[in-house]
Amino acid sequence: VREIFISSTFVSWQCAARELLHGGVSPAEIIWHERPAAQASLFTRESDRPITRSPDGPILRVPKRFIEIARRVARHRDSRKWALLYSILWRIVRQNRNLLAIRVDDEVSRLLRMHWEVGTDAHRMKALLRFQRVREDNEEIYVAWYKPDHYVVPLVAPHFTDKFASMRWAIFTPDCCAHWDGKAIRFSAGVDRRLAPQGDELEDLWRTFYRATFNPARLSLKTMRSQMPVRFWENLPETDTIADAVREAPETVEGFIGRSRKQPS
Amino acid sequence: VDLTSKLRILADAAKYDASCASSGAKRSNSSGKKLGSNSGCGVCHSYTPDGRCISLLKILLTNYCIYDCAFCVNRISSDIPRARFTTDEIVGLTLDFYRRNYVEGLFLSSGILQSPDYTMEQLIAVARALRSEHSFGAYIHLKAIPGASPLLLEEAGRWADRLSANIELPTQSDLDQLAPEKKVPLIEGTMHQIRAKADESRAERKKHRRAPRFAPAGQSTQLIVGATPTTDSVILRTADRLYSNYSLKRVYYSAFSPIPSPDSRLPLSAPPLLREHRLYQADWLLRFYDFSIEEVTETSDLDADHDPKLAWALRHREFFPIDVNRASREALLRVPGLGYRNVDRILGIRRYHRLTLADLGKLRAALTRLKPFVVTADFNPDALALDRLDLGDRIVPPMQLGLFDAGAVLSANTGEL
Repeated sequence: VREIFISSTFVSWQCAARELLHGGVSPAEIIWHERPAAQASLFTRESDRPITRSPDGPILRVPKRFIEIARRVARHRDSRKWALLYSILWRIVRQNRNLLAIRVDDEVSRLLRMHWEVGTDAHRMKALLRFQRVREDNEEIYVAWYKPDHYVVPLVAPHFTDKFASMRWAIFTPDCCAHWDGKAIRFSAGVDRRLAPQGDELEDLWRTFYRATFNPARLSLKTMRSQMPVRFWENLPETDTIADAVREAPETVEGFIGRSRKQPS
Repeated sequence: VDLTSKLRILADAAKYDASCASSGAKRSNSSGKKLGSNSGCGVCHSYTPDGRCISLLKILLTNYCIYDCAFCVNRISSDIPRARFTTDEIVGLTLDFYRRNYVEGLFLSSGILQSPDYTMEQLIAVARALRSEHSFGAYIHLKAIPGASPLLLEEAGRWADRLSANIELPTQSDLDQLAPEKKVPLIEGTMHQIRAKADESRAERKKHRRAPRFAPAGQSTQLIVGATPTTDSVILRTADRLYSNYSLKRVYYSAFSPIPSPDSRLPLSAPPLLREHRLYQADWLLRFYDFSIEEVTETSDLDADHDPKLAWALRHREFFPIDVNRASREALLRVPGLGYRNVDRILGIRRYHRLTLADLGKLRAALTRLKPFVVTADFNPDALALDRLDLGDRIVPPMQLGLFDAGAVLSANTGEL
């Protein structure tokens, strides 16, 4: 059995995997460990070196789709991803180049599940992150604190740089922070929630809108919770109005109906 | 009236419009000078306890209205507080909410003030200010006011990503009963104008890349379900006609929902959410599953107990069982419980692997619905039940209806279970 130490990045895994593959080391022989690396490794930009380029040995061709999936899966919080990625890589090269098409294969289905989870988490961060405006040296800066499930900050950062290009903003997460000064993106180490700003003057207006746009005649809490999981609520100012809205809903609707019954027809 | 009260009144008044999409219009921000962009796929920023998403700041410019449509909370005879935003107030709210990542953009509708043209001009003024004074690059959905002049519609489409003129009710006789001022030809005339402008702009852009875009996310409409006794098949035929005549991106079906100060001609009951859900399912069969309008309207109302695809399959047993390892895409799309994404996955998988029943489970297909209708690589005992008369009840036991999400929603209104 070989113990392989990598830092927690796609590139680090890629380098190790390339050597192991050339050496003919089978997945069963490997135990993967993540080096307690400098935190910086979580958010460094990764180079685009393909697995196919190897200094020695035959050229290994891997479907582009695998690399795309692997890059994303590398951002999953479950460290079993490294062994899974290698096992699938091994089988693609040795058994079936089209392995990824067989979604019902146990390993492929686990891989695609992880891929989906990272994608969902990234999308959710685009949706559920809330900026708060603060003033710093007479300049407006929009600051958000957010706790993603996976290491998705670098994946999501381009979305925010495109969307909020003309603003100065910063996103704080426990894993890593992103800072945009209007020209360039910079990443730094993660921070604690206590460093996040507390409240924004617009939040009450936002709560007003949230409350008013809710239709009390169509209560469906299950759908709401499945789309907006409760663990994210601490970050969403509007959610503290939910309890009241739900409690008052039946009475409000009964009120509409009752009022109309009293009208002469 | 202060801004908070206006927002409360005019968001409350806008919520009966079901449209929430913020997708379909890619706007990049490569210059970096704009505020906002649109990646082309929608983002839902929050969900309210009714299970619906908040994607856009959905408000009315005003809830004053000269019309008296019985189903509408904003009709002239409705006893509700009234308000009107200024252009600057809407622009300010949109920018403030957008910068904090609360919304993807603006959905702006309005009660009818003075005339369709006047109202359209007011909506355009907001969109124009956002785009040209504030370089707002994010999503804007404007209501197209039926009867507004072609020049105004043209300008609206220049600023907006999506336009929508609501048909409101499925037929003219429905409108005559509840919305006597609304005329189908006028509403469809506006849809026709929008389509014509969009086609024109697309043709122009083939010649000149920089020709202006026109409502790049297309147009949609909404119709209210359950306010009149009109059947599902009439509703679906209307939807089908609108889709094909005006290239609509979406028809929204909105279950009529009790409103404050209701008109006595309207049903006093919980919104027919299950019916709304079935209409959306039938709509999807038309748009994504190659079903024809004749096939989804074989019965005058959709089956409440079974989704429309299952109901069709129960009526057409001769078409089944389908061999998942050999059948065409068209045939697989007919299998109850099998979504179009899973159909494409199956086509990919079966080039290298013969699918078993367990494999279909791994794809998270709805096995209970699917099993009687398919043949797999292994033995599927449920396929033997295909000819049983009680097949429908075996798949969805009649007692379970109350456990459906929509059923549970209905009972949640009265507090009963």
